[in-house]
Amino acid sequence: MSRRIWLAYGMAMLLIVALSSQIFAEKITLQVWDWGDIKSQERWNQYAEKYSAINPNVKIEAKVLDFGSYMQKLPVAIAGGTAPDIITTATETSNFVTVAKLGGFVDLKPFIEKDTEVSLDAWQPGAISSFTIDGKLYALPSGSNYPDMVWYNADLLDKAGLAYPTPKWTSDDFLTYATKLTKRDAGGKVTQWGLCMFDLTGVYRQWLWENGTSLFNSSITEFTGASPKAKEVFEKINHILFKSGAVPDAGVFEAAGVPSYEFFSTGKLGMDVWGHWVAPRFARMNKFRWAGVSVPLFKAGVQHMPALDVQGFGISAKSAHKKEAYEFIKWYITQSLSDLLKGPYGSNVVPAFIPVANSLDWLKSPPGIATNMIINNDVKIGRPNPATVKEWKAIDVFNQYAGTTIFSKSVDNVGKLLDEAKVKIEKWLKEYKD
Amino acid sequence: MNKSPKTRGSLYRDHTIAAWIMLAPTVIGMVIFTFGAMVYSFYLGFTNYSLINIPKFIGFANYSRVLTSDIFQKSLVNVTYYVILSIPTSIAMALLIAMLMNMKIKGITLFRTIYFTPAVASTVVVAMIWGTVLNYRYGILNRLLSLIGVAPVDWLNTPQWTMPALALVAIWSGIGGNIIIYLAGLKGIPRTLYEAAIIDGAGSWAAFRHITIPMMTPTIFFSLTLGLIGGFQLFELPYVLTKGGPQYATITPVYQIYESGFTYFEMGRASAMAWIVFAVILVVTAINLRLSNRWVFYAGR
Repeated sequence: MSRRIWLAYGMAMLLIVALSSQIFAEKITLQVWDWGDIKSQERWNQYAEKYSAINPNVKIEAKVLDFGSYMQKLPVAIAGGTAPDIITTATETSNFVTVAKLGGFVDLKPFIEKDTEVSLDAWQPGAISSFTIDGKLYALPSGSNYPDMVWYNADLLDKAGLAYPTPKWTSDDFLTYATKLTKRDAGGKVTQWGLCMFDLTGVYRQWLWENGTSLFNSSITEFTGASPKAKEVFEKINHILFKSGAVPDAGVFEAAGVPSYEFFSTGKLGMDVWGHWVAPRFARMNKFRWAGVSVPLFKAGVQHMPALDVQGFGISAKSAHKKEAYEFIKWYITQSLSDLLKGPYGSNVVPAFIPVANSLDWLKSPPGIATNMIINNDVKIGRPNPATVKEWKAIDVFNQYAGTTIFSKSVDNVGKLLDEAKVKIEKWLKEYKD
Repeated sequence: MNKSPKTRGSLYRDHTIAAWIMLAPTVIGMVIFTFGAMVYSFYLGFTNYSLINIPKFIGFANYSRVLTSDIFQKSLVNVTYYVILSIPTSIAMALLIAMLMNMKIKGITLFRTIYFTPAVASTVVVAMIWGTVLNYRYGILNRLLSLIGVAPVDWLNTPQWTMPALALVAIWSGIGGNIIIYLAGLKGIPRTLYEAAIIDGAGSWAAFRHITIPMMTPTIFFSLTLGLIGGFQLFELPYVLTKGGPQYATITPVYQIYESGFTYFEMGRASAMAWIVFAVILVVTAINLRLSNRWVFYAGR
């Protein structure tokens, strides 16, 4: 055989190898777990298709569970070595900090540092610090479900002759609004409630901070929730909830399995306190004019300190495709969220990626520019959730000894209850071992 | 050539092999998924294991922390209180209703079905329904009590009332199953015993005291044993209705096992708690078994 033939044969073989490596390139499957409803699953399926169209060698398998099941199944999956590559996480439960501390998530800082397209400066600083423990970034923030906002029925405020509140309003104004928005018939039966405020964690934390205190000292060795300033906050909350006559019983909603945001949609409720995630639900109802404003300042003149909760994506420490998983979550956060905002109902989270948060798509999306600018600012200055398992447990202990009682019924002497709780909580803190 | 007839020994051997073959799936399942899991959890009780890390041996640290924990001690007291409240009442009521249902009355089958219905409902559903019934302001129980002049009780938010409220729910949901067991027991009492008693001049009360109760003691013992074992494992009702509160008034050991294991991933501590609960149930059951010699009457003995 001549040299020319050998050369041609060699070239042909090389071509075949090169082509076959393209044709038979290994298709990577990335598993993503999220919580949500049927609509969330449909949305994820669309993202998966869209991403695979751009990246033919990556297949996204998204699984959406309800929040309760998600929180139960995730640890079991992690333990069984079947955790998904991409784990949706949030700082509103102890789940993030627990998984992160146990080494369940990969540190994402090295990925971002090598990335030439984005840098950490492009995210809201509070969101990044929420997912950072001991200098390691364990999840990339997609958005904030909280700070809590006060959502109000603008039509009812107009009827009651109340001006739309601004972020400078106070807890006293809040109480006045709630009382004036509560209407009764001739027999004294309530026909319109002023306020529902069942999502209290963010509210009490904000008011404690604004009043110059907190539930625990910074090293979580002392319960400061029984200080005079803290007592003032808890007394106010108990008064608004149970002594003002402007708030319906939470038990009715819980027992009926109907959350208060469904009640808000009936137009029989003046104000409702929830995170931003209710906004798309309100956007769907289209019955009356509504908007949102920051949770009021505890007192006039104090510095506003909203409590932040962030949602995002971590990558499983056992994932075989960490680089690809990082590329996907980056694409999701920077690209697909923008698409979602172009839809009629907006996003259930406040974007944590600043270019998206500043985009007109986001600002114009429901509930509209005025409210979204307020939310953006609250996210920017928001303070993160607890970063230790001990603090989460200590909050549980506080809820058992005082919190649940203060938030579920009228208490004659809130101060006494907190003093009694302090003894038990501090005993627990003293005996606590990791 | 004719086959020689099988000897008794070879027949026995054949039957034994056949029995083992048929039992094998269940036995293998139990060995792997029950005993295997138990052995592993016993080992985990001596480790610091949090699902993701490799278990690290720490001796008796988990046991000493759990046993000295105020909250765990409180949970043991709570569950004992719950057992005392719910089991005797449940047994007495179920026996009474079973006796009424044992009468030949028209439409009794309908009553049996009605009483049995709660037993087939899931505990979570039962808890949600009772959450409405026990609501402080709008609950039907407080409405009924107000008709007889009783002030409303905050059943699920007052430490002294929450456990009795949970016991009430448990009695309501469990009574149907107990009634069926007692009904079967009552049907097994020979009529001749009552006929002989009537001839001897015994009244209804004497017949109940000297025939029904003694003849029913094996059934009562059976339901008491199951009730004790189930009662010490109380979980769903406080989980759905009270989250263990208020002030840990309804916290139970199994609730704490769940919280340690699946909220905070402390599998070592959760395993230690599980073995302590197992030991408590074992001791209580052993005492119950021992005491049964004094009051349980077996007709065949």
